[in-house]
Amino acid sequence: MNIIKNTSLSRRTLLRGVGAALALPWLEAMQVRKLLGSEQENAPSKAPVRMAVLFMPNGVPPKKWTPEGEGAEFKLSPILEPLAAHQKDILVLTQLWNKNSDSGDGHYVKTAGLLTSTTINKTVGVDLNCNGVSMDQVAAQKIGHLTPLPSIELGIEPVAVGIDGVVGYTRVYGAHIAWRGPTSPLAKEINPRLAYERIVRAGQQGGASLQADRSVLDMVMEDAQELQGRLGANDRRRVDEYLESVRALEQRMERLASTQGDPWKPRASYDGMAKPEDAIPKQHLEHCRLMIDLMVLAFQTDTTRVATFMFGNSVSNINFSWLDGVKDAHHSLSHHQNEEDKLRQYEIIAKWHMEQYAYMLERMKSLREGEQSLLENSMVMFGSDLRDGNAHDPHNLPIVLAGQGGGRITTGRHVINSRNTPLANLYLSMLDVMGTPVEKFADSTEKLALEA
Amino acid sequence: MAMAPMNIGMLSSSNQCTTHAMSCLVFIAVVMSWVQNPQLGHAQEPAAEIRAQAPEENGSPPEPTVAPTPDPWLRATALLEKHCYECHSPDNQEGNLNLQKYDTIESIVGDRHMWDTVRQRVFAGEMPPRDHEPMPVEDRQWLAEWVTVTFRDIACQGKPQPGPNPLRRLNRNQYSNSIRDLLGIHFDAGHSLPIDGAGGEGFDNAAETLFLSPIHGEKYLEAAKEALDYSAKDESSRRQIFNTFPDDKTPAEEAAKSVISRFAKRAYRRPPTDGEIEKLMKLYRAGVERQYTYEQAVYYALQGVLVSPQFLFLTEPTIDAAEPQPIDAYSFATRLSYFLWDSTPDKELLERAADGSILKEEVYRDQVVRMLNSPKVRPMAESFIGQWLGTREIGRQIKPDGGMFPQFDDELAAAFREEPVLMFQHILKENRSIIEFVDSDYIFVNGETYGFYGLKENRPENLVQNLVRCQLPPGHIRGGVITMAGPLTVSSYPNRTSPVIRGKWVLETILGATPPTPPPNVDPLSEKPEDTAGKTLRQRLELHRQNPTCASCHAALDPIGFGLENFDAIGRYREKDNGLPIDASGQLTSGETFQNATELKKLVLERKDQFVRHFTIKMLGYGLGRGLVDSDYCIVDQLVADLKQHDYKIHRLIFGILQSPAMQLRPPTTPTPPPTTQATNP
Repeated sequence: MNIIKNTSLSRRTLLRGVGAALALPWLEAMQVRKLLGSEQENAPSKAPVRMAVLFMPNGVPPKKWTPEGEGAEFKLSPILEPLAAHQKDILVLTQLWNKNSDSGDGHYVKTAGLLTSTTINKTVGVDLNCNGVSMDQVAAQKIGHLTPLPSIELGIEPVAVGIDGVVGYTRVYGAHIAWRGPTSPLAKEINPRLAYERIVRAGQQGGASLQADRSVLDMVMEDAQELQGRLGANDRRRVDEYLESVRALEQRMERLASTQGDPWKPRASYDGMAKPEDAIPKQHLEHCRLMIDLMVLAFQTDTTRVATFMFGNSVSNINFSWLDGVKDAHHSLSHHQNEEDKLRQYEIIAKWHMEQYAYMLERMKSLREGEQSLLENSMVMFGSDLRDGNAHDPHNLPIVLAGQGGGRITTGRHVINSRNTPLANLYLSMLDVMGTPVEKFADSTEKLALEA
Repeated sequence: MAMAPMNIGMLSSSNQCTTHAMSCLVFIAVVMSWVQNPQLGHAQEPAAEIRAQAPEENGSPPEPTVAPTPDPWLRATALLEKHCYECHSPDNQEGNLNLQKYDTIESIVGDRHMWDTVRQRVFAGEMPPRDHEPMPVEDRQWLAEWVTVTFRDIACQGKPQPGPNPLRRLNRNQYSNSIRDLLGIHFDAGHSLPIDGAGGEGFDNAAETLFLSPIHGEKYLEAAKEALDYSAKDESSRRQIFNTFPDDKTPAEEAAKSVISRFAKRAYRRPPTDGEIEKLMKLYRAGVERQYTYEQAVYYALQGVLVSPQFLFLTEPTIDAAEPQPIDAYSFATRLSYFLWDSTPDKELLERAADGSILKEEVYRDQVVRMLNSPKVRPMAESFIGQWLGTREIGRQIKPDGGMFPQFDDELAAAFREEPVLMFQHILKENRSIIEFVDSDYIFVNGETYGFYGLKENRPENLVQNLVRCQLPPGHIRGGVITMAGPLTVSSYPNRTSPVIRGKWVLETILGATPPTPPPNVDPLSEKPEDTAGKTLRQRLELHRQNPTCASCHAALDPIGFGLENFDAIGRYREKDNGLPIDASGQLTSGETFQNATELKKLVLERKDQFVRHFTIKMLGYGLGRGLVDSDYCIVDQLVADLKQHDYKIHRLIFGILQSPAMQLRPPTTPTPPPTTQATNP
């Protein structure tokens, strides 16, 4: 038996049929319109605050993370070394922990609960529930309507195949840190080209095709509502999710089409980034860099103000043997068992992640928004859901916050909190800086002071 | 257990159910004796094991060859009394739980959710808590299994139940395949959709985990536009869609209605309602108003079809009834089609649905054979086998170390992924025994893997890139998935083999026995040069097992992996590790010994009932597109018994699944309580 070729599908190579090719009129939206150069002047003078979270799986070698000294006088640790040029722009936060993730298994509970600070349901699917809303989505739900996309979710790895039968969790958990609702993880984009197209499209939707799209969406809404009436509660929730996604798209189109009030305009040109190649880059470094560029593009243009990025999924076993001095994969090395050789490799990998973080900070610093840099108007959190990968411990998590959040964060410090300070306290403060305050977040007890 | 032919009615015989619980416990005991400990009930003794393997006839319970099993209820209550009642008493009610009030099986069954929690916490070792006398691990496992079996047993006593029927969204593959068939284009329309995760029995078609994000609405709209654009530029696709054009006799509106209705019928997998057609015609008219040509306006309406929830979700008509109801013909054709083709029903299936004949056994059996012989079976074969064995990710998420295995390139990775798919297609097409997955006298090779497998005989002619069947010489070490390069790679580290992971892979993937999680803070397997020098991996692992905490689990896992040590981390045959000869012998916890992979496979074959049961669970879970519930395990028992009587022929399994209450019936539409979606964090 041969490999059956005739069912394989080509990806994007558009076949131009012989004979008269039919042009479909609403497809103009797929082409990126060149933007006029006038947005910069039209942009409102006060730049908004943006927030990004960069997630690194598998924790850090614990002895190589924490800086020496406290307050403004601190010496970067070996892992944090790549941030040397940005020492004045970061806040290293020691002794934060995520209490509610200290149960269940070693990874999935920690990853899915990183930004929700809740305990997820143990399940291979039926009652998938994180029992909360992630911190980024709390912000997105309040200010998302001000930008074309309420938030973007980016990553590198697709959801791993299968369920994890040994620990009894679906791997869906390990692939998502952003949760719009208890049962709604946000799917992340892993293909830079597709993410790019989405960002650009979101900022430029308009014209005749917009009207055409809206009629289609109206029909979908009617269909979905009709279907709703015939379904049980659980099924209704699924269709609801679809309905919401359609409604969100429709609202975005309305806002972009609106000529009233203070319509949204991009704060910068989308030319700031070249269109990525069609295929996902084979090199991990290039892949990560493109994703970082996309977050910067989305922030710079004000396409969104909230972004999350996963360098890898829970239990990620990306092979880092292409890095000098590394011979193995990430998760394998995180179980270093205190062997020097493995710890050294584990450290190189953590440090590599820090270099990528530094690259993002560098890019954001170089972009001006009037008097400030983009970084000064942002908060970029870097963190892992574990301290030591060998111990699966959510105490004293490795957390750094960079950027001045529009002037509300006194950076350039190492803050040693009292032991077992809830990570949720940081989230409470970050939401405050975003202008989307909440009274309490999960196990938060009070705001973490971000100003000196 | 009775060997009556599969039918819905037979599941309700109460006589079977008493034996069901027994045989289930024995089954678990047999698996457990492999997994971890030999102390589960009395059933782990060799005699019991033989008994579990022996054919059971005429529905009478097998004669016990050893002392009778103590009443499971008595054993369970004794354990609860000893370890749990003190805190979970009417007076104390720790954790708001009084376990003493459960004094009959019925009272337990009435509190399913609570007992699930009890089962989980006991199995995980969270209960009894640390400061209390620990419950021995074998008692914990026994108690957990007893709860599971009790619920399954009760579920088999009542009328046949179809299980839940959650609304399924098309997953990414199903979306692509459906669009391919609807438009007749070779274009992956779903390429830009988010990748779906797996749930249920481990497949990405499980309703439970097919959630929708805000990104989906947008993606579906763009994907529909892209696919229709592709179609518009493809002459044969256009011909397939446009059966009518406006002419002197046919006004444009009438022609459009004909094209749109015909398309909507295929896309919605049933005749569209007048209201649905009208909505689509509204789009058509809006297009005309925008000065679109006839074809453009029709395509515009088709865009509406492709983003409608009627297309994107596998909706079935709801019935208001207190009892399970027979499924309707269109829904059955749809279930059948997404089961075997991972795609939308074709014209023939819809015709059989239209006249209702698809519900007849002789008709759908013919259809199954037709479908399994169609090339359209491939996406299902790829999806099922790739997720069951984990081989789908080879070359993607699973990449051997390039420095150590330079020969592992994209071509070899593709061949590794392809081999089990072709074997599955071969078994499906020729209605072969599923036992061949464990051991077969043939494999599939291409020009590259023929040499890789060290084959010297029966070289197929014109062997190049495509994999073809190759007869193995008698007694050859390959054949079956356990010694296939793909699974051997999946169960290795990028740079070395792992007998532990391989042992776990065989237990979990082939025999359906999930080993317990390792205890926290286990002592490491040292990789210091002074500890590795002059030792094979096997010798190092044996040292590790001198620790009794580790030994209890590793005694079940490692030996199986040792039996496969003749295969390196990409599945190549080898005779030395670290310069020393490989010892591939081992002893299972049951006491049986083997000298090499071939003998190990024989021992697995002796447990073929466990494999058959596990494979059946996987296939049923895939076919239903959801995780199995208690009542489904009654079906599993039936299917396994039926397979046993029919030489484990795979068509028998597929027919049986289609004939089962889970496929033939729909659950009553009692109002479901709203799920606990209340956020707790802010």
